[in-house]
Amino acid sequence: MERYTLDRVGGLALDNARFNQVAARDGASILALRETELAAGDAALVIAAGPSLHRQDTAGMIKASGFRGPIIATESAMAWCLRNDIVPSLVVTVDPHRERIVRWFGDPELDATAIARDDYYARQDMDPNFRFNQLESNRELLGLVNQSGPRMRIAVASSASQAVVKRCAETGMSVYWWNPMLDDYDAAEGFSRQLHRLNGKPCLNAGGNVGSACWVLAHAVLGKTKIGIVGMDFSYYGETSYRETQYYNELVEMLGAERIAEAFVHIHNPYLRRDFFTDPAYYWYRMAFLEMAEQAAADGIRTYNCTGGGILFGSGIDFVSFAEFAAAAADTKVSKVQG
Amino acid sequence: MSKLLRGNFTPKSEVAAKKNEDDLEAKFERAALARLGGSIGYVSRKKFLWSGETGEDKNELPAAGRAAQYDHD
Repeated sequence: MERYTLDRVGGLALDNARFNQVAARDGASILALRETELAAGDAALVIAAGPSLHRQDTAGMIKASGFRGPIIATESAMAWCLRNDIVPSLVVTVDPHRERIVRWFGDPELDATAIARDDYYARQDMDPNFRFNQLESNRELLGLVNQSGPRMRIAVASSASQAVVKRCAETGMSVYWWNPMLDDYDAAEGFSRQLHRLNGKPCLNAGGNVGSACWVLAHAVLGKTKIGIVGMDFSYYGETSYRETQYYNELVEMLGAERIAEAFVHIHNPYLRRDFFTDPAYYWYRMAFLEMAEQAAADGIRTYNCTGGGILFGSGIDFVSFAEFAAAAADTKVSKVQG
Repeated sequence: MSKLLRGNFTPKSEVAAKKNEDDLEAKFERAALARLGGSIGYVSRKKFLWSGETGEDKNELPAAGRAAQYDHD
């Protein structure tokens, strides 16, 4: 899978990194985040954009909890955060797609032609607000991000598109650069080393997706040992239509519409006593995350999945309510003061 | 292809190509992953953070991890 991902996005990631070379080289490193207030305390909350975010009062739970640690959000969850008056301490972006990702920031260039060209946002299940009246919701998001940009930091991967980098600059976000680990850094002529040589910034093992990248950044860069997660489903609710899934068009092309059901795996979540289904890519994200979580746990890092849905459970992960995570985070603060 | 790739000896017993129900599933999985890929990289069993030769890094992953199942092809 690592090689498949590299084949699929490696070339585009490198092209973007070359375009971003000067900005990344001369800009701040994600390691500089260790010198900010984000590094204080040992708890952080990661907000990803899975469908569970919208199926419960996640924003209400976060606000009512009194959680005071840094909130690290995927770019795809940023709109949800801002609509709910939650300004992330740090946003993370990595996917190199030239047109899609900037939509999560509000795309100044969006028009009816662009919407007709790509049906992704009309289908996706991550943020229902993006599905209807796309021009109007884009206008609203442009305003929200313009307003909150100066109060947000963003960890931008060198693989990010020109449109995303430009949008970050024009909104006044504070940018911190990193490189995605595209392959083994021990390979002398590998892509990861090429990226590092281009701009000198550290490579982060991003787990294949931006949500996992947030979690890695929380412990590997900010040194957090208690990390809560919401919105990380890596799966779909049973009532989701296949057309709404992330890779619908690709799977139809591979199998034909009549056989598309064969592409999905059904997984029972024993904590919720509920079934979810997932596709090959999301399933791989889950397996990669479990591998990373287990290793992080061996280093004393606790991962609290408070998503309330989905298939991310297993060794190294506490599948708990948000209240339980908030209590654990608060306990940490108390014990620190006592110590 | 079997006509192109011939061995240079005759085995004593007949060797049958391994076929089972998993073949189709594995074939689909490989094809699906090749088409879908991830949003960005993940390198199994390596450090979370690599800052270059002089960087202070940690957390190299052990040799046998869950995602290793995808390494075979």
